[in-house]
Amino acid sequence: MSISIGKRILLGFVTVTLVMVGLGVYALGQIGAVRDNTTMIVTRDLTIARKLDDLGNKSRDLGNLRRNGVVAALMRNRPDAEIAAIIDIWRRVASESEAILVDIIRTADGYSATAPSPERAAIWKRLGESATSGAADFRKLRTASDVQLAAISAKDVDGVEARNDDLNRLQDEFLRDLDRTRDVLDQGIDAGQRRSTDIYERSLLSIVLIVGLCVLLSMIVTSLIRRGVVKPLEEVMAFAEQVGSGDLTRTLPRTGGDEIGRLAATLNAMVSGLADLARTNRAATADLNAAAAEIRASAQEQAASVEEQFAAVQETAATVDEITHSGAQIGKRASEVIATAQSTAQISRAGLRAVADTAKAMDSIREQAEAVAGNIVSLSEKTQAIGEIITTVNDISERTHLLALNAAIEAAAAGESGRSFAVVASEMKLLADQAKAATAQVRTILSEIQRGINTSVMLTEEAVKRTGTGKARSDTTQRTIEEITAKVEESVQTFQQIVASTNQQQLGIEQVMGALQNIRQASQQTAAGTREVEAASANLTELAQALLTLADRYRH
Amino acid sequence: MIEPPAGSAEVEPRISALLAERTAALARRGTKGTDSVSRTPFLVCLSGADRYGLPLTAVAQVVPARACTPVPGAPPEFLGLIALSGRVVSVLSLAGALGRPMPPGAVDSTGHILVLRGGIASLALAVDRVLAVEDVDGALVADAQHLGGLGADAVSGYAPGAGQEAALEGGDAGFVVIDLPRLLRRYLPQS
Repeated sequence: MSISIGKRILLGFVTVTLVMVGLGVYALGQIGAVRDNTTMIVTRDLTIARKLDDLGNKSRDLGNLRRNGVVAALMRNRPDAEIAAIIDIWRRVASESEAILVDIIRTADGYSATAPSPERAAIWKRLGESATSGAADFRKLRTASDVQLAAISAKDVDGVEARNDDLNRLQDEFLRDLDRTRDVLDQGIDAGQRRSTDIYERSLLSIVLIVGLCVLLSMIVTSLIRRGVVKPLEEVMAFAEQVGSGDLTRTLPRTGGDEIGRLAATLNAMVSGLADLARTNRAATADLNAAAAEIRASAQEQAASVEEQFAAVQETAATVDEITHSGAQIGKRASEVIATAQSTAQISRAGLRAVADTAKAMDSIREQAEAVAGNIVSLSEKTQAIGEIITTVNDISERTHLLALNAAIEAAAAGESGRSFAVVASEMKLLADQAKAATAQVRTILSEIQRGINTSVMLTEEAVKRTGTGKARSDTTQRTIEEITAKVEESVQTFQQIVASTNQQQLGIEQVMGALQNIRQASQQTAAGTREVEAASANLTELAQALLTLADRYRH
Repeated sequence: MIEPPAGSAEVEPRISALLAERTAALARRGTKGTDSVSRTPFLVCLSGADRYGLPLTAVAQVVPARACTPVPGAPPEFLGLIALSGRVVSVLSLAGALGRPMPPGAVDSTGHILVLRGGIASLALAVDRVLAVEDVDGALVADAQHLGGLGADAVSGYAPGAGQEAALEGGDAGFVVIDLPRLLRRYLPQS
């Protein structure tokens, strides 16, 4: 069956609850029936009883009235009006009594038709019959009384007296009828009480039966729930006990859709997970064992390396001490370098001034060289003028040459007489030739002078160029020296920073020394700790062995 | 004629040497002139690289070179015509007439023109330069004949140069004596 346990329990409770609700409704109905019955009986009996009482009172009033009338008639001194009033009252009461009698008869007939039990119906019928006979007696009484009352109004005392006994008999008869009717009513009341008791007993029986049915139903539901829930739960509990004892190989066979099925599936998954866990645990424990051994080995290695570290810390402390000494020397040297660099900066400033002077001197040299070049140019022009003069002289000497030659020719033509003239001509020619040779020499010298001037011009131009170059170089030198000065000042600042840094470094090295001391202490502590780690790893190995033993408990 | 100024201490040694040499040359000339017995004056002129001597008596005048008016159909050594003192003078290149290579570009302004004396037609010889008048021993000239070579038929001899001329001109002292009538025979009308 695939109904879930919750639904099963709910179904059982709903069934039991429905039965109990039905029982309650039935019991309430029975109680209402008893009440209705009792109410009806009481109401009807009381109504009839009250009417019978009224009737009894009326009949007594009638007797009294009739007696009063008789007394009045007998006394004779009574006014007629009074008698008439008594008679009127008597008649009215008689009418009312008759009406009540009729009413009783009709009511009894009605009750007889609607009585809840045949016994009561018979009672009501007898009561109606008794009332009917009472009515007949009352009518007889009334007729006889009317006669007597007529005698009273007629003041017939004998007539009144004559009828008195008869009337008393009739009245007693009527009263007996009333008593009989009352007895019948009492019987009816007894019948009603029996009827109520009967209803009560029947209800009690049925309710007891239904309660027993409910108890039975509850027991059935409980057993059903027990069979559907508790037995599978016990199987599951047995399985859980097996799992708890370490058997992880089994699985639960149930695969239903209810809670137990789901619990079985969950337990199966849990057991497989536990088996995995146990395998993993076993493997991890083995790993843990190996790791503990490794930790132990590592701790031993660490102890060795802590020893080395200790030695290294000692060496480092010695080295840092050396660094401190060299740092102090660096600071001293840097201060010296700063002093040197400052003097260098001053020197370079002086060099800067010297270079500026040099540039000025170069400018003046260039101006003077330009002036020299101008002078040389004017000299060259004058040399050119000299060359022109020389040309003129050369021309003159040439002409003189020709003139001398012609003179010699003329002298030769003149024969003996021209001989002395020939001498003069020869002399003239000689002079002209010498003048020509001299001009040639002057020309040669002039060309040399010209070449020299040209060379001088070139040299002067070269000098101007070189002064320009020198100016540029001195400018470059000035810039270079400025840069050098700036660099030297930078170097000064840098070295000051170096000095500051070295001081800070010294401070830092002192801190390093302190730190090294701390490291030394720490390495000692580390050595102690390593020994503890070694002991702890031995303990860990033992623990891992114990864990392995524990893990072997689980079969999987 | 150039005398150093008196009291001048800055006379260059070169000029002093020049003056001394000139004085020596003048002294030698005096003795040589008195010793010569039979001497013929020659006008020594330069044409190309050669020195030629012309009899002084055959030369009428020396003038500076000037532009010649070329004559059509003339041989190349016949440079042209010039006007001189109202006469038309034909100008011959001496080098061309001797069959020597002529200087290019006709007669330039530095050259000289020798106007020859006498003759049937007025004739002038263009030379590079007229150097000097030299008296040479006639016998020496006469000995040198028919030396051969191109145009050598006009050469009548060779005269070795005198020392002072060589010193003044700075070239060969000697010169070739030109036989003018023989040289000009081709250019003159045959009588």
